[in-house]
Amino acid sequence: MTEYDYAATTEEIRQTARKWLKEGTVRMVIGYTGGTGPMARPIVIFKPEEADQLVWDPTCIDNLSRVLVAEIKVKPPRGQKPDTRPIGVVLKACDTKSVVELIKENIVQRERVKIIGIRSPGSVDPAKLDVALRQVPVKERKNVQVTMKGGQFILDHPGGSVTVPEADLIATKCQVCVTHNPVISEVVVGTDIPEPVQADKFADLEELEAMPPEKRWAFWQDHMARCVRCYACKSACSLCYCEECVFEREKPYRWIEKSVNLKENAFYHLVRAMHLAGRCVDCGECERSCPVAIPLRHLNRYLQKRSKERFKVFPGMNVEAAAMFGSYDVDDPQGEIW
Amino acid sequence: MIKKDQLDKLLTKLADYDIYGPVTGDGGTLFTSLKEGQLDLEFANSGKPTKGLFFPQTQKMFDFEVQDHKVTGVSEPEASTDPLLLFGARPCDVRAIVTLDRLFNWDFTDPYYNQARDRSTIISFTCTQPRENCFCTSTGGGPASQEGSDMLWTDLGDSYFVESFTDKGKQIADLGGKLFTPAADKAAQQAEQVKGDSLEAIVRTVDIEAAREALAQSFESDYWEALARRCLGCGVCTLLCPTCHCFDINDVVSQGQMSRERTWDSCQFKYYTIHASGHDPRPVQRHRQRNRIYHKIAYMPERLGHDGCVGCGRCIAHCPVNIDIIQVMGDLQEEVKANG
Repeated sequence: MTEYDYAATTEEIRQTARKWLKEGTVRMVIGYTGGTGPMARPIVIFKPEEADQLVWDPTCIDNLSRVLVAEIKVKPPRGQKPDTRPIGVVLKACDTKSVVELIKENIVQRERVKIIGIRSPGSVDPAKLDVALRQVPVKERKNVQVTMKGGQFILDHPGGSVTVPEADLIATKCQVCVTHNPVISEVVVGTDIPEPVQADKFADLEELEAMPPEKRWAFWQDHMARCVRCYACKSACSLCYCEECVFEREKPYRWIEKSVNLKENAFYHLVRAMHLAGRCVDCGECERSCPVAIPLRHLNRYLQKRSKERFKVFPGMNVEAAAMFGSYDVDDPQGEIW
Repeated sequence: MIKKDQLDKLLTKLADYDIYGPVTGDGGTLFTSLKEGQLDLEFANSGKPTKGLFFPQTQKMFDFEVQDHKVTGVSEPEASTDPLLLFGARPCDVRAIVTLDRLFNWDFTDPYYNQARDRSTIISFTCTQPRENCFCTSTGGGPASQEGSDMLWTDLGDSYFVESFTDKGKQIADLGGKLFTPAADKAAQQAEQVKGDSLEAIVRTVDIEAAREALAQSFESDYWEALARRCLGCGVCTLLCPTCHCFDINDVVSQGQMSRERTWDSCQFKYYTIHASGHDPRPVQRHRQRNRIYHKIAYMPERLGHDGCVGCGRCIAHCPVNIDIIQVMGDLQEEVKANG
């Protein structure tokens, strides 16, 4: 297998963005740029000369389809005509699945978005990186450059270099990934990556599923009790796009109390998860954004597993496929539903 | 001085106190009652700030009953009068408590906060492992700041160098009795060394005075728009901030029980400023993010005479999209300079 070339891929991304902005075929490009810490962050650029700010490395973990949804929702200032040109967006292979769902749900119109799809070998988990960075002097941590080579992550900094085995640093969602190549895109960039031969067996859920229900509920109670209800999980979700969220709704009545206690927290998390059934593409942004490390992906993965088993639905793979809750089948595996 | 192996004995002697200390679990280190967890003093800082001890995220104010559309009975929960000990807090968080003390005694004396605060004693620990986003020294504090603490302990390897500043601190020293031994000059020097090393370990700095001046000219800047483009509008930066103190009062009905309670709120949330008329003075995220920065850097010091930001770095470390208050302050200064 050829080594993944991050520098060349970054260059391809910049060239494409520059070209689109110069031609005026897009009104903006959403991409990644360097952050103040070791992780990359989202950026929106409008001019061809800004394309040099775009980067691509294993610290690019944000699912930028969330920024795409936010930009689509922006209303033009009063009296101004809306700019109807497409929005350019840089998406990792896995994140193109979010856009597939957004197109299916008619939030994104296919012709209104131009995608630079990246073949992606996997991103680093910021929490794991935080631990690995303890080997690097505090002063140098913001200057760390992360690359992947020969199955290892290399953390280069001005004072030296640290090598970390892939498994110790890679995001857990990337360990079960079956989509290293973009599902939809205008331009595909990045070194070729073969897909794993093994289909996803949901092995990461085995431990939790083997627990008796009381023990499993205790597990969730323990985690949900410390939720601070910052709503980062729903705010980071590309598919949580409702204009008025059920958890914020005040009129005509509230569905959830603002009280932060186990009862309301659990209600919040379970309802949030159920709203993603058959839609969640496991981009992992909810879990990554959580400041108190609640393992939210377990909920999403369980829903993914069930929708695959019961409805043969695996979200994000096909724009033409019917939405799980938006369709019915006379040959429904569970029989008639009416 | 106190030997580390004498710590358990000391905590036993302080059994009258409700002791809250750092406990490490699945969600990182949190200040938890030591009845519910094992003390872990090898931590950088807790995930949540310590403000929740005096100002819980959700606090019941009173229960009430309603009959025929009339309130018939109101009963307040009995507040604990046990002394409370906050053990192992970081100096940045304790300086934030000084800010909150002023806030909750500003134009109104808040009974709930002050009740909890009056019964509390704070033992802070010199911060020997500042993180990459710590900038306490820029906000007037430091890893060994005494402000707000009753005692400051400094780790010297097999023992702690103990300094007491108040009567409450002296009370702890008296209860500990012989467990505390007089410190030799050498230990004092060693403690100074540790404090100096900690100070050296703070890598990030910002000129807050200059940032405040820049803010005076930045209210309508386009910078807020650029910042808000990536902002999620979640409550991480505010809920984890040790000085953020906004709350919302709600009547809660649960299984026939009615109560009024207050819960932390966040200026980053969509409905935070919405009026009864439907008008919202901060309708979009750039107004909300701007409000946060102004509140920390300008409004709070102006009104309370104490820092609105203590430099704990939580909002930077936990922001999912790297909105970095140090960078914001720097960028605004540059922008003002560039505009002359």
